[in-house]
Amino acid sequence: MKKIVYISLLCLFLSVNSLSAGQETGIKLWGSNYVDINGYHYLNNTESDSLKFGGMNTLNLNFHNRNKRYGKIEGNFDLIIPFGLTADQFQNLIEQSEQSDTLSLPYYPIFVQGNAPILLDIRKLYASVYLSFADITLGRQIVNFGKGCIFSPIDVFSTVDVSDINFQRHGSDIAAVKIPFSYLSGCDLITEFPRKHREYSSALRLYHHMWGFDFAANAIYKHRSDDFIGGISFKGDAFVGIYGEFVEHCKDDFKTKYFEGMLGADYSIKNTFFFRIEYLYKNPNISSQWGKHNIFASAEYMINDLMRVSMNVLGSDVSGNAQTIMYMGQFYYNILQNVNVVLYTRYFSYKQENPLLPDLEYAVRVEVKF
Amino acid sequence: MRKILLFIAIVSVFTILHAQGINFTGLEILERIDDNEFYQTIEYNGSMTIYIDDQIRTKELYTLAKSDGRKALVEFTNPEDYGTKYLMLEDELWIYFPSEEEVVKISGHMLKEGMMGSDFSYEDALESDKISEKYNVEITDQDTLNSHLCWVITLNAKVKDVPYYSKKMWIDKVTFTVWKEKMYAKSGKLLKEMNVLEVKQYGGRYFPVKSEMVNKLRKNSKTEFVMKDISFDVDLPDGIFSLRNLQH
Repeated sequence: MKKIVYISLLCLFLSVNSLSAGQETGIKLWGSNYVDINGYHYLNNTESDSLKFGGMNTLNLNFHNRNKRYGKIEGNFDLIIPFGLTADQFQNLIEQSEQSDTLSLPYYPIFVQGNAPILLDIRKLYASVYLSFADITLGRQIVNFGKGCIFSPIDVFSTVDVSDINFQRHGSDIAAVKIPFSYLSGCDLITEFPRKHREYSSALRLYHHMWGFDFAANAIYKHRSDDFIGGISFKGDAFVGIYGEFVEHCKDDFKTKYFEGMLGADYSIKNTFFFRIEYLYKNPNISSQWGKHNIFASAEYMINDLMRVSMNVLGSDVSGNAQTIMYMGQFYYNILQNVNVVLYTRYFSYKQENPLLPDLEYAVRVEVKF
Repeated sequence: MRKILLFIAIVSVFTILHAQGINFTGLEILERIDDNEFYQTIEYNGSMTIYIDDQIRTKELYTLAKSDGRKALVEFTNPEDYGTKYLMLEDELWIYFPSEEEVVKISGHMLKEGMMGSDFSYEDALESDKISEKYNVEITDQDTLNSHLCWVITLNAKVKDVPYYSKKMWIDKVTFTVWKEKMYAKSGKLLKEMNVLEVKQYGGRYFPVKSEMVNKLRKNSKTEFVMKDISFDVDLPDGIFSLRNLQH
């Protein structure tokens, strides 16, 4: 695996240099490094030591060719070094993934020392060619297909990782053709390559901007589950920002149909208070990580342009048997030009016992960008 | 000899009167300001230095803008915000976040909010309309600002589609540079104050390249905006200002 990555990178760097022979040449490199130190509190733990510590260091590196006139080659990698309980959790996930027929991790364990793995997450590694009539992309790419912040029935390629405090996404191996019809409308065709145990999809989207709204008609086919998803999505401004996705899942040659819908709204007051609420309804016969009723709410107060506090609530299968609710509070401080400090705490409330989740987590993240 | 002296005296009087702008109407002054500041298209690199309390943050940006259709594309190039882009088309705004490949449509009222935490709103930074078409003008006073003789003019909006209901401007009597500008709400409340710190001559045009904005609604903050490598009237095809190009 490592050899493939190194050879691919070498080829990419060489082709980037030859492509960018012109006015703006070379490669732009940038990145960040952040350290999380976490305390996990198991309130109902029968053991005497209910407070455990962990954390991880994440080195994020990015590159792309400077001259993007005819195309782009871009990479985005996370090198993750977990420690303490976080390392144990990652190791458990790796072992489960190796034994499971359904679980597929977005990380590659490149080195394992005892119970401490070092992981590589290739978030992006793709090449795009910009033709006069279309953009063609091949490789690992983050495909942000939906309109929702957390919930999105049509976001089948790079879904949101809710365990990440910034709700980041992981990449998908895709081929995409994006054909513009006008400056604000077009057609996207995307197909995902199969990966171990993982569902893979193909999608067609037609989008257009009118009356201050972005509208899209979407058709998606999930290959492994033989699930056809068709529906609309929109995002726009009507006093408050509103967005939504309404789709029908069709199975068994369109004989069985299930509805899934998301509606969200956001609003800001004087660039100081920001509010967002999202609701997802999912027919219980549809297989996904969410329950029948799911809700996400967030409120943020900007103390000034360097500091802000926020509160998020994410409820899955609300009032159902598998109800899980996560409460997350964050304090963000841009302490220097390129240094951010984030203090955050998460409280997990769940009806069914979940050994992977603590009851309470408090943490600090220090991030340096370069 | 007397004729020559008389001629010199008349010419001197006219020159002084001209320099003092006595023969300019308010509308003519606005048109001369537009001659300086209005452009069909512009391309520049810029930087915003934001002062918040005793802290300083700097943002670097590359901007392409076109007055026809109020189009602008801004790309941030400082490491902290690298690759973040703004696309403005009329009153609509989209932001592209490269890390998540996310295009977010921003509500129209956000155009009045500070761009990237600065005291400049999106409209302040990207506005390229002719002020003579948007405001009625009245010459209200004369003043000397940093040794520049200035008219003080008051502008009141004649159309609804303006960022500020009224403005007070200090206009250089020689170069028609706007050295100072105060922006007011309809209630008469002072919203912002801008001071031009440096002007450069491009052909017959005197263009402000360094200015300082203070948002009176924010505490202890000001933003210095510097434009460099400026090119006017460059060829910018409309396709640059598209959702497709935003994601490139």
